[in-house]
Amino acid sequence: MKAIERILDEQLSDSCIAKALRNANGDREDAVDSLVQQCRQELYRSRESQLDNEEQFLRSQLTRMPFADRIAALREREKKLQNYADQVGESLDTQSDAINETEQEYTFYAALATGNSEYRDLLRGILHRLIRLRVRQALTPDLVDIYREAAHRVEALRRQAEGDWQVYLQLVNGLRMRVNSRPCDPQALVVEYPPAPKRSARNLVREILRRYLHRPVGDLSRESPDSLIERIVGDCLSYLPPAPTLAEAVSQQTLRSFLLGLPLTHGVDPGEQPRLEPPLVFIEAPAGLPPLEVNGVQPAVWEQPPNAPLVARVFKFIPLQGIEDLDEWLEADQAMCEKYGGSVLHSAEPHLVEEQNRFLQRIIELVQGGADDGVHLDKAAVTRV
Amino acid sequence: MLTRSIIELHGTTGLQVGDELLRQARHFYKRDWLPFWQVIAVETTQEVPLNLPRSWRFIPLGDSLDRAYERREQFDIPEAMKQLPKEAWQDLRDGAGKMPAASAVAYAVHRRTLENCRQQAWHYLQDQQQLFYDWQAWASSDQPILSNDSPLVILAGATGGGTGPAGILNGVRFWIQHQDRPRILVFAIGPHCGQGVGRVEFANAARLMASLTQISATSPQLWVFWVDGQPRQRDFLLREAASLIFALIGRPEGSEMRRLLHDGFSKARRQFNGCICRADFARLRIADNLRRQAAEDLLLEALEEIERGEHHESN
Repeated sequence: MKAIERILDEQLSDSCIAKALRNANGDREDAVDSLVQQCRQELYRSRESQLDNEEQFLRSQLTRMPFADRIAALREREKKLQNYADQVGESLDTQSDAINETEQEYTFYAALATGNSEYRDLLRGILHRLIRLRVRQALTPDLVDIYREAAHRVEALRRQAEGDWQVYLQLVNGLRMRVNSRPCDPQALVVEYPPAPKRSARNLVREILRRYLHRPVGDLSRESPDSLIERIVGDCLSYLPPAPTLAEAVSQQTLRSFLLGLPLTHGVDPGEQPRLEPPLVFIEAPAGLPPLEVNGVQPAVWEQPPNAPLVARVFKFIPLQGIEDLDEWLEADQAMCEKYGGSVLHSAEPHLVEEQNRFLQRIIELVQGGADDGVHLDKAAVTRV
Repeated sequence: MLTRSIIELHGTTGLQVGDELLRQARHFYKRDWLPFWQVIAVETTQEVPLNLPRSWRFIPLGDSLDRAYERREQFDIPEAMKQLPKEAWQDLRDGAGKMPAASAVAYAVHRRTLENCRQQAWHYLQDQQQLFYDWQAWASSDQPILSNDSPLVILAGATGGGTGPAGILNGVRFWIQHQDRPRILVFAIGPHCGQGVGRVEFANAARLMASLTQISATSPQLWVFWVDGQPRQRDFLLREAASLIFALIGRPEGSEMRRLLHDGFSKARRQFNGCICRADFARLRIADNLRRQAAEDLLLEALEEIERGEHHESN
């Protein structure tokens, strides 16, 4: 707030005081009154622009600072202004003392100067000082008000900066949560990406981030953290190269593991597997992959565009008794029959239940005949239904 | 090559398969739905879902059967259903509670509505003139052509639930007896990846599979695909089941896939006198949103670096 001091210094210069005295025909009180009025008008006139300038200056300095430092700097400035306002407010007594002392000094030299032109300049200087002190004392409440207003503005700025800091923290936490809660998808191949050296990608992202984070105080908190993340990620995406296709990214080893791991026997009872025809394997493969061989089974392959996934569909034709864990299903069936005293409410064709029972009985015999020691069904329970 | 089809979705799982089909159709054809695939969705509920395409037929079977029990003799349903204990006549407003018999009663009560729906859908697919108009309204030069193959009937539902088994068997019985003898593809999902997994689901699945195997022994036009896995694979399996259906009816390789499957089913039927086809899937792809993930990773790294730096500076 040096500008305010400068205004007062200008308004209370020797020439201004001399002019005020002249206009008041040498009347000290009138000169003080007119100077107080004049300074007050000038302070009132320039108050807003000075406060605005101060705020703009602070804002421009803050933009270059990291978030945490912004708050600390503003807090320090706010405290300084408040202290200054307090000091000025509390200085009325001191000022009165200074005025009294100067008054006495003036009286002393005025007595000495009577008829003696030697003390005229000294006396004028003391008089000016006295007037200056009186005017400043009269303006003290105005100055305190200005300093308090400045402190208030800095406080508002600090609140904005704190809001920015909160949004920033939410941004980091929101992004962290997003990254950590990504669903684990075993079908998805995560490859090294982006292909450019990591450092340049990092620099690029940091540059984009700087554009967002080095914005004026209060700008960040105007947006929700989610929409901010979306915007920043969107900006980053526009600079990242296209994702590689599967054919470009998949290694021979990964491809081999994928083909070896195809579910060729899933869901089929191990006892039935030797009796079955080899499964049908249909593969949709993106262009550019090497020839695909599936563990002794010749797949039907349909070539797809290069950016398509590798899709394998395996079909195994099995009789009912070939269902893996069928014994568990049949035991559940038996238990349900018992629960409703023979009423097969778990059948979607309850009107055909006798036919179903006969068929299931045959299946049970087949399963048990298959020497599967794991099956212990009470045949009587099924026939009883 | 598009194949005309009637797709019946039964129960919650069936509708979820429908959702996936819808998503894939939108992705491939940039259209809400194609009229060449007639959809009939059935659920034991009173509420009609709001997000279905307008061309889909939705039949709610949310009857309070418990109230209808006393006047069951008045219904035109098989006599054996009238003899079912009162437990089977339950309130279906909030679903069938995994009891296929209760759903079967509801399907029987609404037989005429269902049959009318099926007939309307079938007639539409046979109406060459209407199809031609609809085709012209939809197709552009880069769209696949409409196959001349006979329409397919596709039925999807859960094996372990209440509505799924009842709907699948109701549909199979209807289409088996249809004079045009369409190819019927059943997608029976679960019971291990159903919405619930336990003894009730296994028992329901056993009965459904037994019925389907029996029917397939005498009806070569029936193909039963059994889709199952672990409970945590449910979403994947629903997606893949829909993707398989979509490949069979909406993609160029569909007709060749059907030919190969026909050979497989024929051989197995001769060998076992009725069979089902266990379908398993595997997929390898570049991670979804790889670029987005990379951008997020780099961004987080940069932010954490700044955070560390600020912490360091502020100390």
